[in-house]
Amino acid sequence: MDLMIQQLIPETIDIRQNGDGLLLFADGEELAIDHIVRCFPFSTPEQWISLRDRDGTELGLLSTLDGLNTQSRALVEEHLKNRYDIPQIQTILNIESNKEGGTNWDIDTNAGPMSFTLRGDQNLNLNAFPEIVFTDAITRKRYKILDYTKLDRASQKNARAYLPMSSRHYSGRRGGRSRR
Amino acid sequence: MNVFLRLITYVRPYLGRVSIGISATLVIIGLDAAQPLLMREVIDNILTPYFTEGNYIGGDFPDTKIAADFDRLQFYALLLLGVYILHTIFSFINRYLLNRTGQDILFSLRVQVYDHLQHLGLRFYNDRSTGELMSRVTADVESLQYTVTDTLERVLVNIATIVIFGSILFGLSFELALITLLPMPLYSTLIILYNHKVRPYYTMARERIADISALLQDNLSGIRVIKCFAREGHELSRFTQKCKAFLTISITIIKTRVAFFPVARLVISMGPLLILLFGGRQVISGDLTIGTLFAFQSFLWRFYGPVESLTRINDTIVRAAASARRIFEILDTQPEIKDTPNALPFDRLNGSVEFQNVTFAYEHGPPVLQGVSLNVQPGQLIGLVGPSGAGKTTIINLICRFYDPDSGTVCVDGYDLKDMQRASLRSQIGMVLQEPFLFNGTIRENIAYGKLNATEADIINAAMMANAHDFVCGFSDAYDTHIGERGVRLSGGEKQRISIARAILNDPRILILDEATSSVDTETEMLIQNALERLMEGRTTFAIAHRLSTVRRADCLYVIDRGKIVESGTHTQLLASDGLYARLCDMQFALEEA
Repeated sequence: MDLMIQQLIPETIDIRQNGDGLLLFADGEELAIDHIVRCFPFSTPEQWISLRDRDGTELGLLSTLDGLNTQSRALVEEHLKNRYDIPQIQTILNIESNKEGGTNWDIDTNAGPMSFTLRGDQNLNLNAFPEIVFTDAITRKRYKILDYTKLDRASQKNARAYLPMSSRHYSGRRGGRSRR
Repeated sequence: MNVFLRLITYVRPYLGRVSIGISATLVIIGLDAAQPLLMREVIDNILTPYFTEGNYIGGDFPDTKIAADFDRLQFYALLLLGVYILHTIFSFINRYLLNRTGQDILFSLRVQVYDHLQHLGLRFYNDRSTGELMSRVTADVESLQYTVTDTLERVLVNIATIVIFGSILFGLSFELALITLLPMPLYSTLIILYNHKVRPYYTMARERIADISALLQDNLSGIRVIKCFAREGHELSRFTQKCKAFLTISITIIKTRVAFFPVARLVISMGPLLILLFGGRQVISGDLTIGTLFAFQSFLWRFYGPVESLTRINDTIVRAAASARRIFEILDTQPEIKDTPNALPFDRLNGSVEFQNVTFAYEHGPPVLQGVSLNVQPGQLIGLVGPSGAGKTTIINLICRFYDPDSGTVCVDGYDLKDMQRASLRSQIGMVLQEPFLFNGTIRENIAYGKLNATEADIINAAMMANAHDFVCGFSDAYDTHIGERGVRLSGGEKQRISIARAILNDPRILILDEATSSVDTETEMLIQNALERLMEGRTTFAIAHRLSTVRRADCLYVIDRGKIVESGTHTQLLASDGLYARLCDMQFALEEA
């Protein structure tokens, strides 16, 4: 297969603050970064970071942030944090089935008590289990359980009845240890 | 083999577990038997001496005897408590092991049916609706849930119970035991009549359920068309009709059942009535103790219970047999295309394709291809053009060996397809269809479908080559975006580019493009065409296109009409020959001008 992918070499680039935006210095060029995207935000969030301009055109792709100079890395990480930071679920207070066939979840997060609605597996992401990401079926807002195995027992029990988890999600995860 | 006996063979891997479960049931029967016997001891040996002719005479007994009787009463109460506790424990063991086994059998049966379905050829699917097949894999398998283990257990246990309690009854009173058996001939006749009547109804009920599933699957898939044509009312009436057909047959079954079971119960109730009459007379005449009559009546219901239970099992078996027959019908269907024992694997094909005088017809219809011969070199781009129904798709179906030709040979790399392992052939064929099929999952999973071990770099690279990377990164979850059933959250052009990325990653040697750009706008078509150019590089490509501009640069164009190749050559050669191709080009040109 031909290769079209063109990666930026972290050691050879520099990223600097430019007002509200960022500037990319690579190959003697100076390019304005509008936003930074994780190509695989759930499955491999720390790899394959796409730097994009205002039109959505890719300026460059970083397979990893390792090798970036400290200042550039800090800027990218901060940008990613702002874009992807989602409330972390600490306790699942209650789950109820609703009339539409979905479920309403009452949760306690690091940003206080919240609630959301799920309408099926499409609102769930278990790819990076024990991390679980929920997308509210109505608002599209996202919520995250950082490590399901570290939730209190009542929350785990509450969730287990409603999450499509198979034995692969349980095996070797007792005692709050994670394979990640 | 009888359908039920065949079902029982699925128990074989779990024989150990089932044996323990059934043994636990036998213990439960023993414990059941112990209860009336203990009660008889209490009534006859402890309580009855305190009464004579209905009057209490315990006041005349010494305190030591009364105290001793209290102790004995306590002992029997404790014994009964022990019996109840053991009953609970063994019930748990029995229920758990047998239910678990039932679930395991369902699991393996469902997987087996699905695996078999995957190996059946397209001819099988042409004759059946998706909904009907889904109903067989889900509803029919589900309806067997308790049949195999539960029924086997109940049959064995009930027979054992009838033998054990029958012996006890004969032990207690031979004469009364014979009376107990009086209602049996009539009862058996009723069961036979019921079976005969209800069996076809259960089969019909399963078929009606399959009809509902088929319609539901069809309508939910086509919900846009229904809405577009405002045919909701029409579809509701069709669905109601199907449901009514099921309702009618269900009501017939209910009528038959409710007519049978109470009558059967009435017949069997004659037993205790006769025992009360004859046994009561024996007690009055002093030939039988009250305790024995009490025990006899208790055992009587424990004897009739299993007899009645066997009747209900019979109903379960008849119902399950209807489902089992439908499942086994699938399992017994042999794939029409199989690898021969000597079929060869091919790691990497060169991609030459040859048709030698191929004739083919679907089922018993007229020939769709007649004496087709073509020779394609590795890496060539071949255009297949011609009117609808000419046989273009059939040529593709034969290259993929979805069917075997009726006569003639299809060869890849000089080998007859019948001598190649299907998996190694098909894994090296890539398809980009007019309506790309994407699975309900993430973009990442869909692109990597043909190469499960693909790295993130592979996936991104394939998406870039398919002009998909930029729009994918525009989604908030990028490659981890869930695209919904059949990729419903993507536009037609986006779905097409994901399917091209999937084909690129699979790295096929033979590529089939079936109207890949016909349903998108001009800008998207350019993006797709551009992606396809990259995909086609170095691969043998067959492109079916009605829009002739998309195949004009083909190395060779085959013009198919009514199952025959009527012309072949390059675009320029065919135009010069002024045949069907030239006419088709003129017509399209005129249409575009208009």
